[in-house]
Amino acid sequence: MNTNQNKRSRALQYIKFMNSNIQLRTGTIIIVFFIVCALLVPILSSYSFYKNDLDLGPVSPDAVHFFGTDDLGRDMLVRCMWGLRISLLIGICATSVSLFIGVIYGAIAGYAGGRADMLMMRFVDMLYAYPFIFFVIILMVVFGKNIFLLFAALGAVQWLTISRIVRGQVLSLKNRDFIKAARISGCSALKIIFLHLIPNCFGPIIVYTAMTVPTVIMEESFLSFLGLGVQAPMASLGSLISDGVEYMETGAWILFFPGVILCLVLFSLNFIAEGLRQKIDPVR
Amino acid sequence: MLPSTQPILKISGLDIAYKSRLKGLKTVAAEGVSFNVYKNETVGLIGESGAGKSSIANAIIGLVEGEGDILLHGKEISTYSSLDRYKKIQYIFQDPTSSLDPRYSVFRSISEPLINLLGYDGTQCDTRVRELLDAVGIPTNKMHNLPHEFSGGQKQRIAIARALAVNPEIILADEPLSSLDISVQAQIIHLFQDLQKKFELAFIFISHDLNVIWYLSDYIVVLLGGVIVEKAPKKELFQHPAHPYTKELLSTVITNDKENGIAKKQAFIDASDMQNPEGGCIFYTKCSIAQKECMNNKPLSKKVGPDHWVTCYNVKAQENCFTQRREGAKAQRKS
Amino acid sequence: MPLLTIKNLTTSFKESDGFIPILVDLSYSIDTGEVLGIVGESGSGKTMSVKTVLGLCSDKDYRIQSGSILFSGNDLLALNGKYLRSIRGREITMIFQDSLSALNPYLTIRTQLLEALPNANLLKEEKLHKIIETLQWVGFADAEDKISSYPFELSGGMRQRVLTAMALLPDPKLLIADEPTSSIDATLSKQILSLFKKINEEKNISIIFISHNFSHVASVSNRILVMYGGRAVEVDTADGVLAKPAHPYTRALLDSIPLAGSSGTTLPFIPGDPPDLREIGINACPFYPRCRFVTDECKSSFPDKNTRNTKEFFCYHPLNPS
Repeated sequence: MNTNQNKRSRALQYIKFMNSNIQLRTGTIIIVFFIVCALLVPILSSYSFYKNDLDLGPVSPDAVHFFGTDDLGRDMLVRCMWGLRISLLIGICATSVSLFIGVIYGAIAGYAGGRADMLMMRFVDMLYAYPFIFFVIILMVVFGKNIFLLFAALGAVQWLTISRIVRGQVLSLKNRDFIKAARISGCSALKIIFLHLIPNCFGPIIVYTAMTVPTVIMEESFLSFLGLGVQAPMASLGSLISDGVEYMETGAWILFFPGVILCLVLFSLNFIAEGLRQKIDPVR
Repeated sequence: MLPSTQPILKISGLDIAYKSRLKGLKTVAAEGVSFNVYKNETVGLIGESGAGKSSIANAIIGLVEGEGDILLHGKEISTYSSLDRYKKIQYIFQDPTSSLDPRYSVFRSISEPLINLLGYDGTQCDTRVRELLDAVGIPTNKMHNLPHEFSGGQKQRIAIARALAVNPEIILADEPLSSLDISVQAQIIHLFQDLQKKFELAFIFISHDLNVIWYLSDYIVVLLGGVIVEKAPKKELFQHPAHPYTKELLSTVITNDKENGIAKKQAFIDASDMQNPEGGCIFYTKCSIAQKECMNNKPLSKKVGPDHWVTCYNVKAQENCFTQRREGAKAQRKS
Repeated sequence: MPLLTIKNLTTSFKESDGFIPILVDLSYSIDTGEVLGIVGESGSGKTMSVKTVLGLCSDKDYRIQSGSILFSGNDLLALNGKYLRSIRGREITMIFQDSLSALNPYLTIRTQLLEALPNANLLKEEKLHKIIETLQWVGFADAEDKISSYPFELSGGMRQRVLTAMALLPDPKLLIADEPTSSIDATLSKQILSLFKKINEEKNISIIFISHNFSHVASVSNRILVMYGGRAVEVDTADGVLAKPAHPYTRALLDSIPLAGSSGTTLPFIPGDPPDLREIGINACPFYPRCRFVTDECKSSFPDKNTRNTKEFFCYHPLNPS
C-alpha cells in the first residue's frame, strides 16, 4: 500500500518534472507519439515491410498508402515505422552497452585513483584518437554485417565519454565524508563503488544518456547510408534515407518521410537531453 | 592491576606525516603523540585547525597511515582486520550533511554497518534501527525518509545512531558540534552525555572549542602543531594549567558571569603558521617565557601531577608525586 | 533619522505547493555609527533580511509581499536598478561568510580590489595607494608584497581581511557582515572582531553584524536583534539582551551556550526542532512548540510589540518583569 502510494507519487513527480521545462515537455510528447506509432502501426496495418508489390510500383502518398510506396511497391508508412523501431532499438541498446562499460570503467578508475587511474584514462585517450568509423568498418568486414554487432560496435565507441564524465564525478565524490563513513560501516570497495558512488552520479549519467541516444541513431543512419548498417529488407531510418536518395527526383516522398521522421526524433531526443541538462545540472 | 585500569586504547609515539606531491616534501601532522583511552571515559583532543587532531583520529580508525603504536586491548591495531576494527571503533564526522549518503534513507544508512559488520538480516535491522533512533531521539516513523528532509541537528543524531549501531567500544567524534547552531549544539552535548551513561562508551572527542570540551571530557589532551603540549584530567587542567599555550587557551575562557553578560576572550595566537620549527619547542615563537634552550632543543614530556604531563622546559617535573590512577579523577567527576 | 529602516517586511519563497514564509512582518532599524548584531539559528531569516536589502535575492521564486526598506530616506524596494546599483556596493557593502568562495580564485588580490573601487577620477597609482593604505589599515603588515598574490595563497584570516578591505574601499555608510567569523579559526575570530570594532569607532561606519554565535555578536554590537522563525523576537542594547532577556527564546539560547569552567556538568538545552513556518503558520508565535510558557493565545496570534526601557520584544509571557 505504502509502496503503491510511493510509486504513484513518483509518477506524479515525474509528470510534474516533465511539465516544468518546455523543451522537456515538447521532446517527451513527440518521442512518446513516435514510440506509440512505431509499435502500433506495423501491427494495425495490413501491409508488411518486406512484401513486394512490383505491379504497384512507386505510388505517391494517397488515402491507401499515407506515405506512398517505394520502388518495389512496399508501403512506406510501415517501412518508416519499422525503420523507426530499429533505429530506436539501436539507439537504446548501443547506449546501454556504452553506459554499462563506461560507468563501471569510469567509476573504477576514479575510485582507484593514482597509477591505475592514470593508465586506465590513457587507454581511453588512445581509443579517442582512433577513428571510430574505421573501427566499425573493420568490425563489419571481419565479422559480417550483423545487427547485434552494430549495437556492440556503436556502444563500444560511445562509452569513452561517459567513462570520463563518471570518473570526474567519482573523483569529487570519493573524498566526501559519506564515502569514508561507508568504509567505516564495513563496505568493501565494490560496495562503495556500486552502492554509493555510481548512484550518486545518476544526474550526469541520465543527462548524458539522453544525449547519447540521438548520437547513436545518427551514427547508425550514417553507417546504413554507407551500406554498412541494417540489411535489406529490414530497414532503419538511415537505410531508408539511403534508398530514397536514388529516387530523389522521381519519388521525393520516398526520401522525404524517413528524413522528416529522423529529424523529428533527433530533435525531440536532443530537446529531452537539453531539458534534463538544464533541470538536473544547472550551471550554478 | 585491576582490569578496569587497563586502557582500551593505548597510543604511544604516534607519528603521522603526509607526503606532498610537490618535491616530495613531508608535512608532519602529528609527532610523538601518546595518550590512553579508558572505558566509560571521554578524552578531549583540543587544538587549532592544523594541530593534527583529525589526523590522529583518522590514524586510529585506519583511514590514514601512521607510525607508532596504537594498541587496542593490548594488541597492535594492525593485527585486527579492518572489519574487526570498525566493530570496535566508530567515527562521527564533522558535517552531518556530507557524512550521510544523500540517496540513502535513514534506515538504509544505519543498517549498513549492521549488515556489513554484524551480518544482520532485514528484520533484525528493523528492530535495531528503531532502538537506535529511539536512543537518539528521532521519530521512528521517519526512518524511511531521506537525509535532506531532516534539519542539521537531526542529521547529526542520525550519524550518531549509525556510529552506535554496532555497539562499538570507542567512538571518535571529529568536531561533531561545530557545524551546528548553538541551541542544537546544547541538545547534542546532552545526547552525548546521555549515551555515555547508557552504553558505557569511551569517547575521543575532538574540538577546537574549550567550552564544549568542558562538558564532554574527563581527560584533556592539548595539541599544538601536531605535538601534545599538555595532557591532564579536566579539572586539573582547568585549575593548574602548566604549559604557556594552555594558559593562553584557558585565558580565552573567562567563566560564565551571567549578570554581566557573556565576556569571552579568545587567544590571540595565530596557529596557522605553526609548523614544526627546526629543533626547538613548537611554541617558541609565540611563547612569553621562552628561553634559549627552547629554541634549540625540543622539550620532553614531563610529569607534573597525577596523570598530568607537560612538554615544556619551564615547568618543574614532580618526580615524587604518587602515581595515582585516574580513579581519583573519575570519583571527582561522579561527585 | 535612522540610516536604514526595515518596516513590516514580509517575504516568501514560492514552491510548487504554496508559499514558504521567509521573513514575517520584520521591522528593524540601524542608526548612523551603530553596530547592530543579528542573532538567530540557521533558517531564522537573518541573512535573507540583509540580502533583501541589497536586492541580492534574484531568485524568481522569491517574493517580497509587503513592507518597505528605507535607506537614508529612499525606499530601496521602489527604486529602479540604476539607483539600487549606486547604493549597493557603494553606500552599503557586504562581507560574505565564506572568504574563499567570495573571492575569484583566478584573479590577484590587486585586480579584485581595483574592481571594488568605484570609478573615481583617480590615477592608477592613486588607486593602488589607496588600496595599500586600506589593506594596511585592516591589518596587512606587508600589503605591498601580498597585493599581487592569489586568494589561495593567503590564510583564512587574511582572506577575511581582504574582503573587509574590499568592503571598506568605497567608503560605505553601512557595512553588512554575514557570519564573518564562522568559517575561520576560533582564535582568529577575535582579531576579526576587534577589526570590526575599529571600523566602527574610527571610520564611524554603521555595521550590521550577523552571526549565530552570541558571544561574537555581544562583543561587537551596541544593539542586538534576536530573530526566530523569520521574525524579530527581541531587540535591545547588548547589555539588555544579555543580562535581562525578556523573550523565553533569548533566555533559552543564552542558557544553552556552553561555558567552560561552569559549575554544573549538564547544559540546559531547548528541546524540539527549528520551526517549520508552513506548519506553524505565520499568525502564531513561531517559538510556541518549544516554549515552556506556551498558552493558547501564543498558538493563535503573534503578540504585539511590547517595550520596556530600551527593549522591544514580542511575547505574551515575558521574563524578568520589572
